[in-house]
Order: sequence, then structure tokens, then C-alpha cells
Amino acid sequence: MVAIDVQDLRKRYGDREVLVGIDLRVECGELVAILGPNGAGKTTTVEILEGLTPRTAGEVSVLGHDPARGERGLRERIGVVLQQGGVETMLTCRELLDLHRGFYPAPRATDELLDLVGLAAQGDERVGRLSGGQQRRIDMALALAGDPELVFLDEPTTGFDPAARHQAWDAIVGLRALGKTIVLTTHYLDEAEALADRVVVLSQGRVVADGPPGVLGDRHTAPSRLTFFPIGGVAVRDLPVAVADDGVRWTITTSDPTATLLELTSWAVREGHELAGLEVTPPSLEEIYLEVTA
Amino acid sequence: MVALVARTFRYDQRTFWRIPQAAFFTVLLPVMMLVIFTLNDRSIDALHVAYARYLLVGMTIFTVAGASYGNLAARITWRRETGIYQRLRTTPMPAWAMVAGQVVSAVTVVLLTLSLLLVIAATFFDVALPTSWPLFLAVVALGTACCAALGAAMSTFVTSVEAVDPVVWATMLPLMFVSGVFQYVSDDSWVARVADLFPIRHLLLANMDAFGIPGSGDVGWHLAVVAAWTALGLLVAVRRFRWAPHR
Repeated sequence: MVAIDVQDLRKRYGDREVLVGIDLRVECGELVAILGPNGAGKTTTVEILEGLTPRTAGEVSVLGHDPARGERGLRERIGVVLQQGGVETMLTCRELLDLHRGFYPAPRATDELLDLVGLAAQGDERVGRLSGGQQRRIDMALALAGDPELVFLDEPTTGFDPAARHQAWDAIVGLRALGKTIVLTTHYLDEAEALADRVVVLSQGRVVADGPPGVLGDRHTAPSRLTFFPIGGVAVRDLPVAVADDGVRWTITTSDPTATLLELTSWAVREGHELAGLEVTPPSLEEIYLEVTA
Repeated sequence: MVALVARTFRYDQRTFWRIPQAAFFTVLLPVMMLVIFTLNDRSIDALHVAYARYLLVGMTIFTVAGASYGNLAARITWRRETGIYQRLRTTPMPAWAMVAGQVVSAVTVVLLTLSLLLVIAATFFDVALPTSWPLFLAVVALGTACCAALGAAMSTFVTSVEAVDPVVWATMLPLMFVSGVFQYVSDDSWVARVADLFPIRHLLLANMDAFGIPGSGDVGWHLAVVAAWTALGLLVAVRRFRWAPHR
């Protein structure tokens, strides 16, 4: 089942083209992270999918609806956390959740929602008295009030401290466990790597990479690096393979890590050297990201 | 449908009473002014009425304008600029439910404050109540509609939460002074001619008639001007309304 199907989506503000032909497919139950530098079109894309922004051209289907029509039937089935969404600070968490629950035909129970975002103890506190991270999580609880099939989270952890981020991640993992389809925008690569089934990278209004985080941009076949600390009394040119020296560590870049590793370690054993701090690392998501968005 | 409006109404009421400044300026201020200004026992010679009686007519209009124009301009701007509307727009709540809830809520505050004013005036200051209740209620109803529409229209010109209170008071207070809400302004003054262009003076004069104070002129004309301002306010509010904040 396809939750979101987007073909050749374009958006123009005046003569500035912010989306230049986006193709995107999200299957039901998938957690897709949309990554990209600031201004890449992430928020514009999700706002079009949410029905908040009209598109200039292209085909968009969200749960079988065209979001541009603003149909209530679609809004009953989606949940949204906006990047700069406002929440009513004068109400208590419980009152605010009950207000939103009242808009949906089959809402989730208030206590369940508070539990899901880890705010069970704050139910009777005014939203304005919560910390920034807690307000963001109440926002997430509001998005879930109608028990939606599809959830949009636009940079849900921006500005969080590490502890709050991990709590939010737990909440998102909790959503996944409920079988929700989730579209998440973020500029944190570790967030995408930790949560997403699939990462879509946008740059300058285009999709420049699309795939599971482990294989994005041919990450699985891209050259790996062998690194270790310099060996005393040995020059780089004495080694059997090409080595780069950055003054701290020696690095060998290879697309054939198994054979290179064997060659390097056989040489070291034969010569009686220890390869202190030896590490073999595949290219990080960050390197791939920087490469595709460059 | 009724349940949905009941929800947005309760929501608006709760948030209204939890902002003490809003409750003070809208509800207590007119009551306080009535009490303080009428403590010295004066009268308005031009009209041959006690000042207390005249001021009750004016405070009725002050209340109507504060609780609908001021209240709606501030709350619409605040909800829009803090992103609350944008957030609500992603939910299945229809726009009309929010509008209806906020309007019913404003009407509630108007009626509550007016009841308080009338009871205090009649009990402690021995001021006579309206001589024509139908006209009084028509003035309140049309005045609330007009000021609510203008408040909604004004909110579309304000682009930040910080600006809205100054804009509300800077538009409302001078107009109230020149319209004679606090002190009688005679018909032949140039000030009255300026005030005649706006709805407040027409509401005030029609309300004078409802309280049996002479010198109000043609009530039908006053109500017609207010109706025209209502239509203009609605037109601007509907055409310029936006959900998204200006940032």
C-alpha cells in the first residue's frame, strides 16, 4: 500500500523555484526521513503534503487524497507536528489534548497520549509552564490525538538537548511500533540513521539520493578507511600500500578492505610492528550526505 | 456541529479568563470607570441628564467595543502569529467552528460585562435602566457584530503579537473620546463631524435613544451607518484572512 505518491512536484515563489521536480513514494508503515541543508525544500515539500501550501505543478496523492483540496477526510487521517507550530500555553496538557481529540471521529485516550510522549506526570500542568522539549512532545501528542495513519514530523528535535532528543526518539520509535507511516524532516544525520527505514536527501529542490541509510549513495560499496596511529621509526613510504598521514593518524582508503587489511596486517606481523588503534570504518552517512548535497 | 462550536467556545473562554490583563481591561475597566467617574455627582447641562446616566450609555459602548473589537483583534493576531491557527488548520476542525466559537465567546463577555454594569448602575447609583429594551439590545447586537468584524479586519493588518495592543488602544481610545463615550460631545462641534464618519458615535447616539436621553437624532440612520461598517469589516476580514504567521 502506498501512503504518499508524489510525481514531478514543483513549487515556485515568484520567479524563485524552490522545488524543481520531486518524486517521492512512501509505503504504508514506512519511516522516511527527508534530509537536506537549509533551503533545500524540505519544509515546503511537507507543507504541500499536509495541505498547508499549494503546489505549482505535479501530481500529489496522500492516502488517496489530493491534499490541495483541504478535505476533512484527509485531515482526520493525518497528524502533523509543524516546525514552528504554536500550542496554546494557557491550557493544561490534558485540556489541550481533549480540545484536539474532539475534532476527530476516533481519538486516542488522553492518558495513552500523555504516556506515549512521556508526559504522564505533567497532564494537569499548563502547557506554558513546560520546558521547550516538553512542549514539543505535547505537540507530538496533539498530532496523535486523532490516531492518524500518517504522521508528519517537521524537525521534531531541533534545539533539543541530547536527553530530550533521545526521549523524542523513543516517542517516535513508539509510533513506529503502532504501525504508523511517518515522514520526518531533519538536518541531524544521526537522527535519520537511528530512526529511518529510508532516507531521501533533498538539495536545491531536487531529490539527490534516496535509499535505506545503510546503502544511501552506494555507501555500502564506497571506499572504506583503515586508520591507525603512526608507527615509530617507520616512514609512510615503507608500508606496502598507499598511506595518507594527517599528523595524528595514518589512513588507507580502499574499496577492497578485506584484501588491504590482510596485506597491511601480514606486513606488520612480519616486520614486528603493532598497529595501535587500528580501525576499519565504512563511509559515514555524513560523508555521503556532504558528497550528494555538494 | 453544535458540539464543535461548544468546544471552540469553551476553549476561547478558558484562555480568555486565564489572561488576567484581558479580563481586567475588558470587564473590570468599564465597571471601574463607571464607579469612579460617577462618584462626584455631576450632570450634563446640555442634555439635562445626570452624568452617571450618560456614562452608563457610554460604558455600554466601551464594553461592546472592548470585548469584541479589542478582544478579537488581539486574539486573532496572537493565535495566528504564534502558529496556533496554522496548527489547527492541520486538524479536521473546520474554520467556521473556530470563528463561531470565538464570536460566541466574545458575545458572552459582552453580555456578562453589560449585566454587571447595569446591575451596579441600578443598585448603587440609582441610574435608570434602558427605556427601550428592544433598541438597547439591537444596539448591543449590531455594535458587537460591527466591532467584531472590524476587530477581525484590523487583525489582518497587524503582523506581530507585540504590535496588537498598541494598535487596538490607539484606534479605539481616541475614537471613543471624540465620539463622546466619556463626555458629551455636542452635535455641532467639528469633533463630532469627524466622529460621525466612524461607527462608535452612531452606536452611542442610538444607545442614548434607548436610554431615553434626548438629542440622538435619527436612530435608523445611526444603525444604517453601523451596518455599513459591519459589512466593510466583514469584507476586509474575509478577504485578507490568513492562517499562517507573518514570519
